[in-house]
Amino acid sequence: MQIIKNEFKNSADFVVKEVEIAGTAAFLCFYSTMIDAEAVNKQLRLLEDRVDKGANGWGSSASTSAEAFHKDKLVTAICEGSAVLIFPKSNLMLEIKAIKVPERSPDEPVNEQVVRGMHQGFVENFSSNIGLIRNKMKRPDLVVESFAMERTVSKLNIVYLADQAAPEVVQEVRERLSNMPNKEFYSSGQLEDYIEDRILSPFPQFLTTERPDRVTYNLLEGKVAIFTDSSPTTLLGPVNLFSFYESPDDYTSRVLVGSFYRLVRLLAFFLAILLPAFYISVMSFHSEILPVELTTQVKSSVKDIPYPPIFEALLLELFIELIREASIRLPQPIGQTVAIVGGIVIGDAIVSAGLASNQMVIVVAMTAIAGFVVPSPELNMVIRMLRFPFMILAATFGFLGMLIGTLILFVHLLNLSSLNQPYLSPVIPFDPTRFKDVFFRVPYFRPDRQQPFFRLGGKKAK
Amino acid sequence: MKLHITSLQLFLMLFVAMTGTVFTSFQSQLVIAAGRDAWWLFLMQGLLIFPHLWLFNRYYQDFKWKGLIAFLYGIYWFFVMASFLGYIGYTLNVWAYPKTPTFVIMLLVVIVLFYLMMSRSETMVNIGVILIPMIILFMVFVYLGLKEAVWTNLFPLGETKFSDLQKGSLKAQMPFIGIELFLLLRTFVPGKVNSRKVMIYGGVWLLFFLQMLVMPLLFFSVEEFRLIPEPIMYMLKSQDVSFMERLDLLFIYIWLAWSFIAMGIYAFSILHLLPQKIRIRRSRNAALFCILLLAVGTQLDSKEAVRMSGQFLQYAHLVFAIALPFLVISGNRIFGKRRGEESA
Repeated sequence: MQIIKNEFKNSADFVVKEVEIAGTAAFLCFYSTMIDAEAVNKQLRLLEDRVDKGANGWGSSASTSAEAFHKDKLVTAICEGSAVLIFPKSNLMLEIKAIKVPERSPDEPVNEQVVRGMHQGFVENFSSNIGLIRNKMKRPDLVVESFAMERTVSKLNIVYLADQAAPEVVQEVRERLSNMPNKEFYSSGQLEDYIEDRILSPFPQFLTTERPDRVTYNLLEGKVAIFTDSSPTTLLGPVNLFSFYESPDDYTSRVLVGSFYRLVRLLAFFLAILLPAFYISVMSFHSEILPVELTTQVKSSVKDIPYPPIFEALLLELFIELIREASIRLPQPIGQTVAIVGGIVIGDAIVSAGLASNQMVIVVAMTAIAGFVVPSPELNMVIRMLRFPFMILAATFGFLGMLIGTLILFVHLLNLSSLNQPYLSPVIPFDPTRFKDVFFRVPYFRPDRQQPFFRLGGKKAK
Repeated sequence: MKLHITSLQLFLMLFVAMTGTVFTSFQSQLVIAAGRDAWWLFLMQGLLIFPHLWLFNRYYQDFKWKGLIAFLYGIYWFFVMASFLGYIGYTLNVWAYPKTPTFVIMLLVVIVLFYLMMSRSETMVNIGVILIPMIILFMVFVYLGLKEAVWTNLFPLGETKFSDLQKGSLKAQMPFIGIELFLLLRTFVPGKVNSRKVMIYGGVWLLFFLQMLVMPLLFFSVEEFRLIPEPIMYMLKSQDVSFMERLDLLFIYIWLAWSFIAMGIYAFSILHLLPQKIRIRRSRNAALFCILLLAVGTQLDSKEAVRMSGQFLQYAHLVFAIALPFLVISGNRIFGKRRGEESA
């Protein structure tokens, strides 16, 4: 008994009890903070009944399993929240699954709300999460594969539709998960670090979501979902840049409306990155590009501003970032107040104080709104970050700087892949069968296979 | 593993490389030499692209990329790139950045080129796609000038002397620069490339350059071409549109992106000519290449150097796109056949 206790470092909530099951001495071990005591007692009573009746396979039921005693398995089972009955004489152990950890209801995630459609979200329990998906997709080819990490209790699960997902993509995911070092991880972000194609790229290579409906339609497109056992966040891959612009709202709205807003979101990508840089370029280098009527107005507005446009832009952009950070950390009602006070009052005060022009406030506000249009918070953050180097390039070299930045950005995106699938597909390389799905919400939902690995001329390239 | 590309990717790369830089400037030299007859002279010359590409497509396997031939083409393409770089530096200095040292502008171009060269082959092959919307936008800008077109500028014909037509024929070769890249890029396309596809590509190329010549001819009188070395840019500058005062400023950056990618394709081709042993040290090769390019490019950024390098390229093109392929392919076919007979 002491040996087992030592294995769990004599933790105060670890319990080992000597019990007798149908006349046989046994040890019952469990974490008192993780099990449902009533369920364990019930299982023990049932077990005694089955042993008394001499039933075959007395140890096996929906929530119990018997096997030869093994210390590592004992540790894993107890850490997972099971109660384990050890029979020292017969060298057997019986696992009773009666986990009881607090679980919240599957509410809609706060940062992924939709107007129409399902209002459910994942919770911190994989079994409940997969239940939500199976409830939506009642089909036998929905496959779950579990990967247990040696010497740790973290479990990873991949979910895919066997008839939709490309086998090479599924195999790639399997290999990457199998090759992970045996370390505990606590968030999907840590997991991404291990399985991404290029870790130093600012662009996310997996789509993260807490929405079952989003996972469902991505599975139907042939993607693979990766769940950890303790996080509501799911990773979806392979993705392309355009996947981050798709919202569940697209499929619950009218065809034309959904298409229109998808195009608006894609336009917002360019606006959010390039608009402040464009304004700085025009004001610093290329004011002759403006029509004469506008030039007069713009000049009169900026003539009293003592600072160059880059300073104005950096001041306001940093101010917007501060407001955003503050409103996230504060309780929701106060956060909204801070955003309003910051946005309107301080913005107006900055203009009145002559630190920034009206036009710059308009540009920065439009850019901020364009940035928040992206349905994915990860890409949203990337876009907000990228506008700073573009602003600096624009302030240094004008349109030439913007062009250099844009080309480097495109080359980077072309080099990027998600699970070996090109990040800009189906635009580059061009795939006419999927091209229209990128820009339009097509009238019917047609699931398709993922584009295969990088291929040139139909053959796998280096 | 050998790189494989599709025929569509081949033609896109070839189109970007052939149109990359010269389409802004070839018109002036051609019109100065051939006057109003320039457009039909170019049309006649341009039709030669069909047999030219057809022959390349038919006999590309007889053109072996090794030894002295690879070295000569490597040097030639390097010089093409250096003169492009010099021209970009010169043009930006004149049009947009008169106070910025040309070296700084060229350095920026070379940095992008370095990043492109460090990218995987798929990126080099596909990057031309981002130009497609820009090309469409550019064509729209050019066609905005139609309302001021003077159709009679195209006539009368036949007034140019034969010697001037001869001179014009040489100038009309400029848009063909880079056609020899087909011989190399074709080796990456597995299997046959349909002659129909080759003809379609030739048609697209011819139509593009013909428009680039005819539009300025409709816009400016022949005499004005002597004053404007880049007629397309002047044409865009002269246009009155309500949303923008200087269309040419926007265009210059479209052209610049176009030129960057064209240079990237040349660099990609040069790197593929390197022997396998050297090719694997990619970052070192790319760094050395870019430093050398910058060193040579900065020598070619003056007005006189741009003019001289442009003239040199017209003659070099005749050697590298016509004479040398003809000699090498014929030689390999004749000697290859003899060797085959002897061994039989």
